[in-house]
Amino acid sequence: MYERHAEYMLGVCYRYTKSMSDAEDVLQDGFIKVFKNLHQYKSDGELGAWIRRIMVNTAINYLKQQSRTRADLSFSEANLHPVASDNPEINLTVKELAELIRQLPTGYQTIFNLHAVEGYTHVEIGELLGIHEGTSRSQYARARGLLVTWIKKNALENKMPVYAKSRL
Amino acid sequence: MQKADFEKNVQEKMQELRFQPSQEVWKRVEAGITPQRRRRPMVIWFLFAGLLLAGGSFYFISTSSNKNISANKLQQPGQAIAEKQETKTEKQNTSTGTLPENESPSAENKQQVGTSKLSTIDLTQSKRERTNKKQDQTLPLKPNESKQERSFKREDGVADIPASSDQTVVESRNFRVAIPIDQHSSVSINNFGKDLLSAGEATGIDLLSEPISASTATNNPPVKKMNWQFGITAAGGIADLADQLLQSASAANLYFDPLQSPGGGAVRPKPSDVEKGAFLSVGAFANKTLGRKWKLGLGLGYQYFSNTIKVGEKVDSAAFVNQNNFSLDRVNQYYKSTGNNTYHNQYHFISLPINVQWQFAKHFTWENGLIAARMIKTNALHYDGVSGRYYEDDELFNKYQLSASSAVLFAFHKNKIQVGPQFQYVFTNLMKPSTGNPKHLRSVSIKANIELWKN
Repeated sequence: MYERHAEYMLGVCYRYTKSMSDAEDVLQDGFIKVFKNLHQYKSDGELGAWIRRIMVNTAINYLKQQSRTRADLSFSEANLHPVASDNPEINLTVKELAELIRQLPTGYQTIFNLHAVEGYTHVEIGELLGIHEGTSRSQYARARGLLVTWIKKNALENKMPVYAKSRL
Repeated sequence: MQKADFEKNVQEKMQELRFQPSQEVWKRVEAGITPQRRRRPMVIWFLFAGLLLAGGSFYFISTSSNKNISANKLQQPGQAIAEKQETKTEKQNTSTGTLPENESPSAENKQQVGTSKLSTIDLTQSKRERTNKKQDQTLPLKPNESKQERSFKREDGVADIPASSDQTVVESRNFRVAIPIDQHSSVSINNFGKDLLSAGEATGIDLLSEPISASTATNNPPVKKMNWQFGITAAGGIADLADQLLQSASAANLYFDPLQSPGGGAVRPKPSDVEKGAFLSVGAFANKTLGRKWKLGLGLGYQYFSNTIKVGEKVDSAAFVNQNNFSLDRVNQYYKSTGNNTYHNQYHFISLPINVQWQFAKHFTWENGLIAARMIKTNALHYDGVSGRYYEDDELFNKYQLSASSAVLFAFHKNKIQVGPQFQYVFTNLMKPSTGNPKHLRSVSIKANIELWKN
């Protein structure tokens, strides 16, 4: 089971963290939870989806435990970013796009991943993170706007931001 | 491109994101899921050792008792029970070196046996022999008289003691020995055999080889010991919630909070501290005597634990709550976390205690027990640290609990009432492992055992 799901789950963890080392820590904790709670898995659902949900929860948990991320994982409206409503074409590789998402502030990054990638509704995100639904919406809009700006800029310059590129 | 397409495009690309984890990750996962031996509290091992010791003692006593009874049946001619009672007259006469008249053969049946039911046998012969030996050290010998001769002369006038109805009377020369048929008197029989043999050695008589005849044997039932005691027990005190045996539950660990960061961005209400509540226990017991100082007890009872928390107002509407990292549940009503209303978490159990009592001093007994209990009802609240809601869910509790108790009891009123402090610790987790919240109930109380009848 580990061999079958580990690569994909590391990709999930990678999107929520800022380094591969952190992602592997989350992966490790997540799989320990998976194995210890395997008896709770109900066969009517897809195993991969169940593991993925555990990974997401573990990642969020991990982020909050890291003191250095506390400031980032703020959902305050202090640092407002412009909201972009346009929809640029994404001419990026998978890893380049993942790297851009990881450049978002942690709060934005978390909400963007939960909504755009995992498909959580803003109500569910609010429940999960303990924030108001409206906060989740606005945070997502700003995260999206920032990401669209970067994608457009990348399309114009046909290159990634230097700070993002260096992480690949 | 529509807005939804952007998210869909991102989602599709992210589904393809894969990385090969390093080998170290699997090693750490493997290490993390390998079952680790949990250190059991010492008190648990002590209780198990106590139960084992008590069981072993009971088995040993039962086995040795049966062996002695069998051996006694085979060796009756050489054995008897000594009754260590002598009249003052005897002592006085012995000390003066003269025999009283009532010890002459014509004065048979005048001497009375002691009043104790179990002390049915007279061994005045051997006792007198020992007394005479002492006397010989002080009285001068007559010419041509040996110590042995003088002893025999004195013993010629031994009294014929009437045996009680529970005795088999064995005659040997000038003294008569009664062997009790009581099967519970094995230890005394052994001791008496030694006394008898030593008396034989002193007098030069081979008691085992002398012709002995059993004159009487009755079929009266053996004297019964009071082996079972029945009664009621009750305890009252305080209860609380603990992380470990001697560590009170910390509020921070009382609830599910996936983000677990007080300093984090999201402002989430903290759960209430858990304050102490009442503890009550009532039941009935049956104690089996294992020995002079040991008893094994079984019982059936009811136990009540409680603790208190502060909650907000009750909301009668459906809401989602996070039970743990993996499951979300829907509840029809909940309590808000902010508020100053006192809420009593109550836990009701049916209990089956088994305990061992050791009387370590005249009126004091140390009682250690194991209690298996089944939770029959609870209204205890869980806290969801994400939404800040208190909610009820019976299914999150372990219904079967195992606890250990220890009490020091003071006995009075002919040992029919025992009273003393008791400590009880439920060492199984209060909640199921899936909650990730291993709490334990514990209590300190005053316990009373009241014996109602014996059998």
